[in-house]
Amino acid sequence: MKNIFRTLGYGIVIYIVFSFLINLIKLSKREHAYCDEYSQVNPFTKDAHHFRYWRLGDKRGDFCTDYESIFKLSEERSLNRTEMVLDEDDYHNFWGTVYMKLVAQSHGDLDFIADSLLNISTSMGMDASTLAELTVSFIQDIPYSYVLGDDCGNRNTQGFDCIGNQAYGILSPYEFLHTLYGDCDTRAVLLYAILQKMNFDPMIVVSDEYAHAMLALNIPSSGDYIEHGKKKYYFWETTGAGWPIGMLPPDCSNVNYWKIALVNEL
Amino acid sequence: MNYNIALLGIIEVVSAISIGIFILALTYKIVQFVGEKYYGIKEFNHAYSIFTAAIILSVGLMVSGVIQPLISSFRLLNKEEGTLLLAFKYIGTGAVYIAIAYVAAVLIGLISTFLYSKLTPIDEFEEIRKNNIGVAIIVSAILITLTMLSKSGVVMIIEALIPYPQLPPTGF
Repeated sequence: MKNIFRTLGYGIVIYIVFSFLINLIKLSKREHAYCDEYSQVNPFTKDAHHFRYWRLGDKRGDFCTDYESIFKLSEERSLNRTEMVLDEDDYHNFWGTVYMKLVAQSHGDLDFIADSLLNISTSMGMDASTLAELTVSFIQDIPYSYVLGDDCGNRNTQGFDCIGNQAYGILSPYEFLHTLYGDCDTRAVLLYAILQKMNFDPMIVVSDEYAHAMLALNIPSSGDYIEHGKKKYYFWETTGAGWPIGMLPPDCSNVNYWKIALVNEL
Repeated sequence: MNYNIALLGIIEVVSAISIGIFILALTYKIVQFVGEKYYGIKEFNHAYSIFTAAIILSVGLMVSGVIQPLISSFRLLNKEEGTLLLAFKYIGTGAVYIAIAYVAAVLIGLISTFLYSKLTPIDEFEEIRKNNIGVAIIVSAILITLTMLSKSGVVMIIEALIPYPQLPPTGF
């Protein structure tokens, strides 16, 4: 009987300690906003105005932003992508070069979205980690779409949107923001470009075995990471909402199968 | 200093210590009870102490695999609104994970000692009772090796219970 009470007391103490610690985490909750999520496309110019509403993975905040994208610029970036000439034959180098060229081509295209996210971050007094979370959750919230090099008819897309016949099976960052069509590497490249603009230290990792690409980020965190130059880059799944940094999906959790495709060596 | 990471670290340390104390005390009591009731070992001799240490190490190794999935679960459960509910869910989740790891450790212990006793002509527990240190070391080594070999499989079973967010089918 005495032992039962002792165990019960032990359990209650543990419960109180965890409640206290969790409450400390919850204290950092922020204001919530709400707005509608929709897109308006000008039928003549085909320019788009996107209104986005998203939330951080752990519901610490809801956010709204809107931006306009220009059809002509999107088409120009599409042409740039199609005209890219690559002579790499190694798998990781090939994708690394594709991503590097897409990031270089998008220089100056993404200032508006980076500024918009930075404004939200500044107005809410966010730290760097939360700004990174805000940026990644913004992209995670955009529904996944297949981007294929061949025709969509050849692939079972399981109900997901598909955009076919795209050079290298990827869209450039600006095209993604304009069309809101993005698969794993399209998202990773856009996030790499935005986070780099925000002075973060991002990386793109690819896996031949898992046929997948992902963002990795060098910020203080915990969980799964890939090491490069004595720095830890934590994996960040971007194809679905709610994935926190440092958590690899169980279907692609072997870190050894992930290779670095693009990282800022400076 | 990153406030949330520090808190997450403290939660991990508190989880590890509380799980450790509970599991090790429970294991020690069970081993003491089984030794006394079924093998008449009232006082720990050297051989039985080595065997007990191996069981505790084996259980510790297996249950240590619970910490990371538990922290992953916490990060995902953190979406829940209420603090008390979240603490309750976290402890409940931890209890389920520990139970799985603990049962696996016990099963491995039982299987390893049973297999070893079938392979050899001697009665291992009788030898341990007689303070045969050589037999105790070998049985302990088998126990720890089997635990190390099966740990990743048990962790994978526990990981299957983590409420990961939905993912689309991937592919370049």
